[in-house]
Amino acid sequence: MHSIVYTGRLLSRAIWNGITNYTTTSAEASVSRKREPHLVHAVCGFPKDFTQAILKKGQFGDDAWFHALSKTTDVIGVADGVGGWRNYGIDPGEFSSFLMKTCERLVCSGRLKNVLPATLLARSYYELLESKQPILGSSTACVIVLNRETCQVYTANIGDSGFVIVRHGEVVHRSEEQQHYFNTPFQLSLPPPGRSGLVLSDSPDAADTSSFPVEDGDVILLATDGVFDNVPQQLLVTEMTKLQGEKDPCKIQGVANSIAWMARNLAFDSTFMSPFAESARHNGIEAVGGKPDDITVLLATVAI
Amino acid sequence: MVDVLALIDTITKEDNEVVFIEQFVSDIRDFSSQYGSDISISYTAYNLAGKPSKYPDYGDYPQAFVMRTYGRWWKEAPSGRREFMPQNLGSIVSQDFIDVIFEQAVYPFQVNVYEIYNPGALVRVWARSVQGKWALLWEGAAQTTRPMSRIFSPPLRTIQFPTNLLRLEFDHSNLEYYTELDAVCLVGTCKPFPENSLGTCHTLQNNVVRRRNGSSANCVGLVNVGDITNRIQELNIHQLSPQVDIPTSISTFLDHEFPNLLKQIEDMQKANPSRTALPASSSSLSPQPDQPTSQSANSGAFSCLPDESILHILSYLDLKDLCRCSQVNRHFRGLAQDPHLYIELGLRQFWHCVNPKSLNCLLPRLLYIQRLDMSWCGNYRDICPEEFVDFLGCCGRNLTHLRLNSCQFVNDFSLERIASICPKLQELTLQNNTKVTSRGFFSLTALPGLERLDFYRTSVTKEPLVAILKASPQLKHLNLGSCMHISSMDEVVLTLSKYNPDLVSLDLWKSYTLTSVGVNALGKCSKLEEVDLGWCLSLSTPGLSLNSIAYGCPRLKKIFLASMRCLVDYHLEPFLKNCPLLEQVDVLGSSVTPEIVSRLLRDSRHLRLVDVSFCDNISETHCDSWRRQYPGVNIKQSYQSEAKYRGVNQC
Repeated sequence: MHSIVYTGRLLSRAIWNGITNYTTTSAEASVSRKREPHLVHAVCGFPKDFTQAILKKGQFGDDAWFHALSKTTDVIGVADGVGGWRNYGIDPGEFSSFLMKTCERLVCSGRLKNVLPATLLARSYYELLESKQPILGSSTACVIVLNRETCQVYTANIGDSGFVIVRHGEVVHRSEEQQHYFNTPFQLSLPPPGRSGLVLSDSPDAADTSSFPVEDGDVILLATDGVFDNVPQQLLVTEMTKLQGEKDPCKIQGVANSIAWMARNLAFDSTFMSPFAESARHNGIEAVGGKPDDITVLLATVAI
Repeated sequence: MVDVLALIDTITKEDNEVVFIEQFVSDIRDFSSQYGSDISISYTAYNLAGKPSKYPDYGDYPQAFVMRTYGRWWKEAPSGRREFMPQNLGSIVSQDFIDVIFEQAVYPFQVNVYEIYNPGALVRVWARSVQGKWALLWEGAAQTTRPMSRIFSPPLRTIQFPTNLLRLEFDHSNLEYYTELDAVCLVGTCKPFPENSLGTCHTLQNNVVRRRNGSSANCVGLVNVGDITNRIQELNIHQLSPQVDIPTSISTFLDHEFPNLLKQIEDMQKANPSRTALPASSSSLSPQPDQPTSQSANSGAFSCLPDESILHILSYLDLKDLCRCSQVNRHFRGLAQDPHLYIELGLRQFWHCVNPKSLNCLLPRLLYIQRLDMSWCGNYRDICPEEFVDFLGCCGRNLTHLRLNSCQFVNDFSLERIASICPKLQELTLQNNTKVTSRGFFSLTALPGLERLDFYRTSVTKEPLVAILKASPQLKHLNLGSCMHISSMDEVVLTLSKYNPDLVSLDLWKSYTLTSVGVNALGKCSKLEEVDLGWCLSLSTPGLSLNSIAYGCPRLKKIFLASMRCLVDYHLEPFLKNCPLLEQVDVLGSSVTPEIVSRLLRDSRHLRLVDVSFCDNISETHCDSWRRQYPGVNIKQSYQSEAKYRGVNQC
């Protein structure tokens, strides 16, 4: 009888251990978050074509995103795989998601100290070369690192993804779009062997970098061109202002959802004069309507 | 990642309360080799830290820890090395190790190893105490298993101390391809668990494993857990009362026996059976009453033999047995300690008990020693550089071969002393000794007779290396794999081609600064039989430089060109015509077509290994048909796939 009770106790303990093992790590994380500056973030997005897209974690169509937390930094990033590779039988989403996943691994490994986003992108890009499986394609990328000790954000941007930082309804900092020419953004790429001369490829050093001191309550939007090409900045700022100082992940998620929905709807609105159409007109191309694309919205508020 | 909640609730009313703590690796302390490079995170040892990232997927993933070699291919290549005192190695030989740290020290109860590609290479698990004592937790022969990812949980011995540092040893010599590990989980208790509950604990652990993973993929792990319980019942351990000592583990057995037995006198009849006996019989090794010590009076039939014959017989014994023999009587002591038996000495297998004391015991026998292997020995300050230099000063004058792979006592000081103590050195291997700087390497220029140098994963730089090469005209084998600090490999290779015409093998694995200029120069080393240019990323477009190797090195047996993405058929063409002796070819990740591989298989009669993994143009069907057509050739094609569970090269 004694042994049954004993076994039963051990058993329940073991089961409990098994379940709690997962929860403790996340609980730990949230405990430490309360003390130090960090980003409260939410993600929403849509693949351009629901019928073809396979749902994978951290991916919306050819877009990919990540969030990673280490002792000294809080990092978010998005990447947009260049769709043209599909004609060569290459899945453009694989490149961008590898890039983002590797960034995440690099941050989580904790072996990089005070990492700068440009270095992170360069290291991540370099890992593509170190993989036995050649992962071909190209991608734009934008990474934001919050240094949790100095409350500075460091950014690196290659191509036409980007970020906006809003404080009390004002845009205080935003990324510059990097394009070779209209609709051809800067991109990190790994072309198929023998084609290297024919493909646009920018080195990770070409990334546009900046640093900016953030304050408590600042709202950061990190998104791919599917958002910026379709939603006018003023609309984005209006939405983001609602989140000034917000720490509740649910509310942030709500706004992220609405921005993503807005982008999605405007992208398929053929009469809407989207930022993309305006830019096309500047380049002498008569265009109207949105630009259907994969959409990724990463919305975060700074909590200090 | 310590299970905090489990801790809160610990130490309560009952003594029998057992709380298990599960933790994954928090850091990597040391390792002997890795596939990836130190400036990358793909295929590196550090991937073993943290929770599993790929399990239960099965395949060749950059997120795993992969070792540098597999199978016997490296041993059988022209650069392959003979072991010193191979009889020392015993039946379970390991080629690689990794030391992992956990956050909290526990009494180990279970070690779960997540193997995600070619499982079965783990052969030993060691635990280190805070005091620096190593204890063997488990030992078993390498397994051949189904190509499926699995959690391997070997049955552990009970040890009497908590540990947070484990060493895993691997034997991958029988594997079809690289083994890959995802994570290591240590399950243990804060206090020694009562033995009478062992049986219960194991059934319980069974439940933990099942609950945690829930999938069918870990059935191998479950089977093993069941095995533990059976084994424990077989051994009757679960019925022992806590007062009785659990049979001593092999390590304590060795620890006591190896240095101490020298002084003990033991009966020959008892010594012989104990050679094959389990550690459980360690009682037979305890000090015996002194035997009569008359000269060769009780050497039995051996006294009829001339000493030379006995010496010859003894030369087949390993170090352990020689120590035992020296305790038979004075006659045998004299014979078993005869310096002629110690012309070469391999201590790698005994890394866990080599310390200044045991070295001193050996010293009187090492009068004529020429070849010494101290790889893996003396880490964690078990031997300090001064102690090593003292030891070498006493016995090193005639050394021709010295292997010091993964020896933390090797620094500038010890290298300088090596160079002055051992002027006759022909072979020096310094793998993984990152402490040595330019100063130390420069001192090696004093050794004119060097024939083999192994600098794998050291921080050797260009200047001292060039100086060493110029000073060693007889150099035959050079390993510069993963040397990340060489600013211009081209210059090194140019020096090689000028000053070292006898070069037989050259390993430039992951030499990022090598370009086609250097490769061009290699053609001048006409005796070259082996060249490894794997992962030389600046060489991704080799142009015509490979031609110079093909035309200049007709004796080539092994060429590795892994991850040369732009390698196409016409780069390989000259090798077919000019290198008839080719045995091993690696074109992983290149753009070659099935056509050239077919011709390679047809024309190269000596071919035994072809690696065409991740070549886009080569499908599995091609490989299968080649395997049928050329059964004597090992055709490797690795893969990354969740759905596919077929093994490499298993038809």
